[in-house]
Amino acid sequence: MKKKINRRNAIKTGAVSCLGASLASYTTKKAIAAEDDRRFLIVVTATGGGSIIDSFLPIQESSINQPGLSTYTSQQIFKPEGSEIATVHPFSNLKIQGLEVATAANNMVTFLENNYQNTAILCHEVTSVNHEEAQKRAMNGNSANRGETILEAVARRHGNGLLIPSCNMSVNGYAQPGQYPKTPESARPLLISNPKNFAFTTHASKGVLNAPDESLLNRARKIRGSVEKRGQFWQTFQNNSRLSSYIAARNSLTSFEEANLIEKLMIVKESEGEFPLDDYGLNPSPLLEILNKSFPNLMFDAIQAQAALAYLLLKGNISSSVAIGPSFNLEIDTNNKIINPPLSFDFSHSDHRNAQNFTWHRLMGTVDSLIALLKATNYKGNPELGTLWERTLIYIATDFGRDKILQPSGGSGHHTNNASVIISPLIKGNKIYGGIDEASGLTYGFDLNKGNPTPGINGIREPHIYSLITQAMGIEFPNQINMSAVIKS
Amino acid sequence: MTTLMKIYIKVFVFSATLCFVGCSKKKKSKSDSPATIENSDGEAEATEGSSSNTPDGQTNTPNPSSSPNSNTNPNEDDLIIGKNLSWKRAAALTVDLSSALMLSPATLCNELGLYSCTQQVHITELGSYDPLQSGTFEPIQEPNKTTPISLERVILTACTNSVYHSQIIAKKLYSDIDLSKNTGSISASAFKSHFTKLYQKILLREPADDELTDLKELLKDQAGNPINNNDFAILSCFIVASHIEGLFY
Repeated sequence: MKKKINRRNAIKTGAVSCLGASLASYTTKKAIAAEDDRRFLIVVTATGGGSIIDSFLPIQESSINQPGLSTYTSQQIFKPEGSEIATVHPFSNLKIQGLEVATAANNMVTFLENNYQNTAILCHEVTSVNHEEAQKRAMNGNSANRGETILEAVARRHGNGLLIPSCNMSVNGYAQPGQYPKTPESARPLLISNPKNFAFTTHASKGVLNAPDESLLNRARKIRGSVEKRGQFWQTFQNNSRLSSYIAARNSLTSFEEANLIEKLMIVKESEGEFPLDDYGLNPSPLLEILNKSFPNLMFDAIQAQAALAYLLLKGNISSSVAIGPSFNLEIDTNNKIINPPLSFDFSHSDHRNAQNFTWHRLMGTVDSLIALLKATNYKGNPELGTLWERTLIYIATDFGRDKILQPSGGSGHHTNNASVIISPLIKGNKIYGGIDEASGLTYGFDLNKGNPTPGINGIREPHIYSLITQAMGIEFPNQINMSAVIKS
Repeated sequence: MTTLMKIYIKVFVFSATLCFVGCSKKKKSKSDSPATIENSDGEAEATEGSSSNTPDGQTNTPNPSSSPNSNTNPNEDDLIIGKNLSWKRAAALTVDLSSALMLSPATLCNELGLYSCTQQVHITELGSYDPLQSGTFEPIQEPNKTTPISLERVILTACTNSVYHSQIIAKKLYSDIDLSKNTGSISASAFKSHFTKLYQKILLREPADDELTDLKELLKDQAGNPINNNDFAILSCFIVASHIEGLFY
């Protein structure tokens, strides 16, 4: 039945229209606000177990002289002026079980000089010494937030409207999805096993020689959609959840293609015989020159390649949370020298001090370069919105600690006692939260109200670290632990 | 019957009804969400659940998980038609596609002509893993956001290779099309024979008449002009090889 047009109805319609317009405006403003409020998380995994007493809480040789305790001479320890945090110089003539390693630059020293004001060491105990399980707990805070990983929580809060809200380039337990069933599919991290290849997975036809042009391909896709619906297969399986999500992803693939990620994220440079991009009508990322300066070994150093891609994902406003980290695989450079020891930090079983020293320097050198890029880049290219770094938190996640007293062979086992490293302008940096008992090498915790050390007691566990990161990222969840003592107000 | 007994019976019946309604709702909420698929006009259509009609007028198979008998045993639930669907991962895709297109696995698809698509570049997206190169020890459980792109890229490359790589292959696989001609000129019988061959090789069945009717759209571009025979050969191969029926089983 048609409604009569009269004065009363006209006023009603007008009011509803005005309300609709106001709501639309409100929603848009809210979306913009949410976007301007965006924060970024980068998880860097110290795969295999990075020991804090061999990186940022070194113990100076003292009169206690506990046999086997991993300690350092005063010449080996470096502390920038004004810094509360110290680190260890790279060992000279460093070899890992007699094997040559790539030249270790003084990366930890440079990192600390540049970033001590934004760095916090959070002393804690973890609850597992099984690699896979401990890695999972480092990511989900031992199920602090119903099993949702820290990457997923950040992607859910800050990834709205992004093409790939979360990416995970790490391995093993660090790469496992969370267990919270209500985490939306869009917030589940996309696994990237090789950052140098990733660009190729973002476009179906660009760079395929002799492929029909895109308009014809799109036409073929539409025809395929019609044809598929004719068959018995579709009629039988159309409600299948696996097929549904596949088709949903397929229906949105053109958004990847239109964003031209195949070139924006192409981190390999043109080289005849190795990467003949030009022959295939492809171009490398326009930022490749900058990336090569920051990460000169990205063609053969997996961590540098991961960091380069992580930067592009954040800069391009493509992702809000990213994880990078070494695998357990041996990596060598072009001179057959070790870049990543076999089992990464876990090579400490055989040669603790050399493996820790070399791997920490490698990792933190890359982190330092990544932070420098983030500091030099404005969010969305707009100086009014501040730099990317002002919105970023880097979490150095580790499986667990290592034995404090080394075995006579120089190896170490797994230990629950350790610390996490957080680097961000969002936290109260240049501080060690907790401390270390120099006689035993064990860390102790801190009180949650003021952040003061509690010698002899370490009640800090995975949920505290998870709560701290989420709180700094503006995320709330039930039973979240208040970590305001560590976060800038 | 005493009043007290009557009250007991009423309470019992009421509770049983509540329980039944609650269970049904719970069961219904567990059912899979319907898929959307692009129609020939490029619009996403949503199927409306168990009672919706397909374009050819047939009634869809009822959603098995909403059946009252489907909750008796989880294993039984998985066996119901429409519930259990596997994804053809990298190794199976390589074997099936290279066999259908008469290409060796090594020539099927290589990025930049150098790096194997299915064993290196797209290995994660295609549901496999590479412990030696990238240190991954487990495949992804489900197709991810870029899996359809990788699948289409691999298939498009393979189809392009089958047209351009070897004249012998092209003559066998595309014998109904004159690949030397630039403009589309395919007779009705050649069209049917061509797709019958592709369907038989890739989907192991013959195309239905209504499928062939839809596929005729491929003979011309968006503006209605005929497309050249090489593009037609590649895209016809692409449509059949990237059909969901060939990628899931």
